[in-house]
Amino acid sequence: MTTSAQTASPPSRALPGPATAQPRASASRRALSALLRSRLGVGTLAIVVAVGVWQLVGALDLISVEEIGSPSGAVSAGWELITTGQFFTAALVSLEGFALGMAISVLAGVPLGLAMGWNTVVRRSTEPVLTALYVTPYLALLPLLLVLFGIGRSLSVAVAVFAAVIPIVINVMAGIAAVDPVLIRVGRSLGASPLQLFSRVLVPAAVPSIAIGVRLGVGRAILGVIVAEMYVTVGGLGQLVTLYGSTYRIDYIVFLVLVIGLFGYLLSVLMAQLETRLSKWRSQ
Amino acid sequence: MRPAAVPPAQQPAGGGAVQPGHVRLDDVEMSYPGSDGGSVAVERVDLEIAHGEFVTVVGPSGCGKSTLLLAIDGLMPPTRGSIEVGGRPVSAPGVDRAMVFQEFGLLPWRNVLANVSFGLDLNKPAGVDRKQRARELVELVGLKGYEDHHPHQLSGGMRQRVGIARALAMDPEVLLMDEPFGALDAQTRELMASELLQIWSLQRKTVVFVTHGIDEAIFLADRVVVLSPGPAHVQEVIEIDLPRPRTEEVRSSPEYAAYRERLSALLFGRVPATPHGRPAR
Repeated sequence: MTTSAQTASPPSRALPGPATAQPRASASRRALSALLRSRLGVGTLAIVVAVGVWQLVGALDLISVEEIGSPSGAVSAGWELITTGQFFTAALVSLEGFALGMAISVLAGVPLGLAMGWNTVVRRSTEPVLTALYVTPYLALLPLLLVLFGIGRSLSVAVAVFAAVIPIVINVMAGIAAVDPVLIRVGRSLGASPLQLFSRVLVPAAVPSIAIGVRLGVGRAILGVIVAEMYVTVGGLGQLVTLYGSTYRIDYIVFLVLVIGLFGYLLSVLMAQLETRLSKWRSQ
Repeated sequence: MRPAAVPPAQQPAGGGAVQPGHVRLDDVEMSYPGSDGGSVAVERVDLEIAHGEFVTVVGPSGCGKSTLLLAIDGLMPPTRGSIEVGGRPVSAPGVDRAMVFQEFGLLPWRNVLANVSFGLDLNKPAGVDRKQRARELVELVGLKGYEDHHPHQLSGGMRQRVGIARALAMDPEVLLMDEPFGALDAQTRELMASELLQIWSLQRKTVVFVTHGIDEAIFLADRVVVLSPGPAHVQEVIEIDLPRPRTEEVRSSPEYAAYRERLSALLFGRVPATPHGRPAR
């Protein structure tokens, strides 16, 4: 019985028809699985699908286009903003606020974090305040900052700094505190002065943590600038969002939000790459 | 070069010409601060180590062996007593002493060459070509060709070679080794011990080598210092009268076996050398 079954089955599998059809099917399947395996491929595919569904939902009137906008609407809104120069004027303002806020945050936050990690007196005296600020929504500080900085560009910079500086400080501090005590002992044994210990052992050891802090700070600085611009009229993309929001022009908002999101995404990819490069030696 | 296992001439204290690598511990006590008045890790240790001598220190784990090394290195001051190296009292780490750590302690962001030259980079000794010195030592420890590798790319044995090269780069008078091969597998450990002796025959330093391996202690040493369970004090000092240069054959000699038995009895023996584990004084 088994022998007859065995001899009977091969011919049906070896039919020429399916044999020629199969490679074509598996080739497309292979292409699909390759697409799914590549990160960029999956990301792009997901965006294409989402945009398609979004357009379709509006076109089929499942949800009113007035409420969700449409991809084509966003594109034409963007085109209008770009050609009238409105977009670039505003983007420049936001970018300036972001860059300035980030620069101040890094220049102030990294040294402060280093000092806090290095010196317990500095840490004990500053940590409670920082922890409190970390959990305080910086929007709650907006009225105070408004009084301090007035309505102007410096306000959005100040909000960005408040948002970004704390994760930077905390990560840098943690990086210093987490340095392997054996390395400190090695430095001391080899005759390092306190300053050398700091610059040759602690700081290099904390570089990966510093990079993480800066990356987190970037995201919060973007948020801080846009939110400040939305609430207080100082120009920038945030102001445009509020402007078009108040007149309920969804396509414009969608375009602006996408641009801001894309900017944040690209920057964080860049930072992640930098981080990997700086902490290559960590792979143990 | 030197007759094997000459007991260190008990040089009279205060004698003018003390040799550079001479180590003297005088009534050293070390305690860690604590809420209950602190705990004593080492008490009343008197020890003299001659220039160029290889001394191993054994004792039960946690008995304060490593604490003693930290004291000689100047990383932790003794609570009582004094330590002298080359006739100078020890109060801080100095270029006359270099330490090799069990955990290697390599700077992971520096490559092999830069790790070896780390101590030189800190001290910038005059008239020393740091790169050149580092290259020589990398070669001495058998890592030629690995200069550009980073620690995470090396095996444990290779990492400790870097640690030894880094210490030797300082050209110290005394090499302090804190269970340097403790993190390595048995086979690598024996190989490293042989190579350490070879290096030592080329660069005669005073070596104080802490270990909890009896075999390692005998194989390497001119003298083995046996510490008692904590608080540690010197229980016994055993001279190892085995011919040098020592090769693996030495391990199968009857003398070696006798030393091994004696040390085992001292460390794990059913009959404690001192009743109730307290020092008999």
